[in-house]
Amino acid sequence: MAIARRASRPRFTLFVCALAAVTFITLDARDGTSGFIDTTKGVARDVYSPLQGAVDSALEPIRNAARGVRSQDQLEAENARLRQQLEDARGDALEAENNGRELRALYDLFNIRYLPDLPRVTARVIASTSSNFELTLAIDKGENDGIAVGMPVVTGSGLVGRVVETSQSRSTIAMITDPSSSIGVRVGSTGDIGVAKGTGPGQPMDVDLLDIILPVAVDEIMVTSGLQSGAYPAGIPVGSVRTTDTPPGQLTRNVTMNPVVDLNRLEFVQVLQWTSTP
Amino acid sequence: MNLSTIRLLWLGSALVVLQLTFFGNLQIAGVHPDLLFLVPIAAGLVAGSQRAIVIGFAVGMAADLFNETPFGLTALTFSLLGHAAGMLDGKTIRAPWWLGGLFALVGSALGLIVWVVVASVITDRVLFTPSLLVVLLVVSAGNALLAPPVVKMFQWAYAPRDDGLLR
Repeated sequence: MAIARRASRPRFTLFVCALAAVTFITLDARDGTSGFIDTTKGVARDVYSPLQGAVDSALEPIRNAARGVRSQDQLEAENARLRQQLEDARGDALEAENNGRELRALYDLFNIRYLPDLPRVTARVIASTSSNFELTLAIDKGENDGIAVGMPVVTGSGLVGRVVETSQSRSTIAMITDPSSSIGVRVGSTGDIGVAKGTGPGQPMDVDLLDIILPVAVDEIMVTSGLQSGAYPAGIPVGSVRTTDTPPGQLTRNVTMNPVVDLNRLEFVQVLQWTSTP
Repeated sequence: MNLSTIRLLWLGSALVVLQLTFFGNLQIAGVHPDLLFLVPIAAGLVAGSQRAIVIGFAVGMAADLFNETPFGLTALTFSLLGHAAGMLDGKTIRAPWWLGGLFALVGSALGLIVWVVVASVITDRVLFTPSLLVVLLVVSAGNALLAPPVVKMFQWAYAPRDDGLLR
């Protein structure tokens, strides 16, 4: 009898815990982004943030040492490559400045907000997601700094993702490589419109719905299309074309692209204080 | 709640912080180790099913607070994992040192699969992608390597008794 009681106790505990977990899952699904559970998450993250910062600072030398040992050769090669790119970019910058002035004049003519004019908040990346199935980042700015859900997040190179959750002093960003991410993009040279989708960590993004007739070259840059009700303003670089092919019998082109931003080494990002108009 | 349970919960919390601050920022082939799957397994092997379910539930809830996944999903998975690991309690009188690593390898893989299956049912996310294999490999192998020291920590936190698999 005692043995039977002892054996049934874990099963009862499991039943209670499983029931509680399913209840929370249901509540979370029903409440959306403004419910009790999301509020609790925000409070927990705000409370935890100072502790995480302290532990992060203490562990950073170990993390940097591990990263350095693993990527020494890679870093040296990348350094040389970036120096060459910088030289090339100096000449392009002058031409781009002139083009920017012309573009700005066009945007003003059609009353469209120009990307560099958008107000932005600079934030430091304090953590990446602890889940391998949700590609998110945590930054050290939140509602108190004027950040809201839905705002795009960029670096100097291009698009990182968008804000999906905020608390008073922290925000969570869903990266463009997250499998749930879907971005309207435009091919730089032809203006063709497609949809870029994330496929997971370290994987190239898939670009669908591109016209089979219009050419797409490898290394071509794709930017956000900014179409009506899009989640991002137009003109933010998203990725460079990695592969392109047209299987027989298909009406659209298969394209993959690599993000222009190195999403594994983000330290600072900028949150554009822009939200889409319905 | 006795002292050993409090120590076990404290140890679980410390491992949550370590995962969020250190392992969460470490990447191997684009995937980072997930120490938290090891927590209910180690708790089950050392402290039995009852305590492992509670610890798995608590650690899972803590993990869900900092993820964008459905709140309660990880708690559900870890409760089941803790119960499964705790069912091995008493089946072996003396366990070789590598047994914890083997259980961690298998348990982490199974726990991840359960998590992905439940998440796929609850959400509309496509989680069965080629990268899932890489995640399974990195997380399971990482936890197999970390199992011996983590199990030792749980043995320290749990008051020495004869009703655990690993003494």
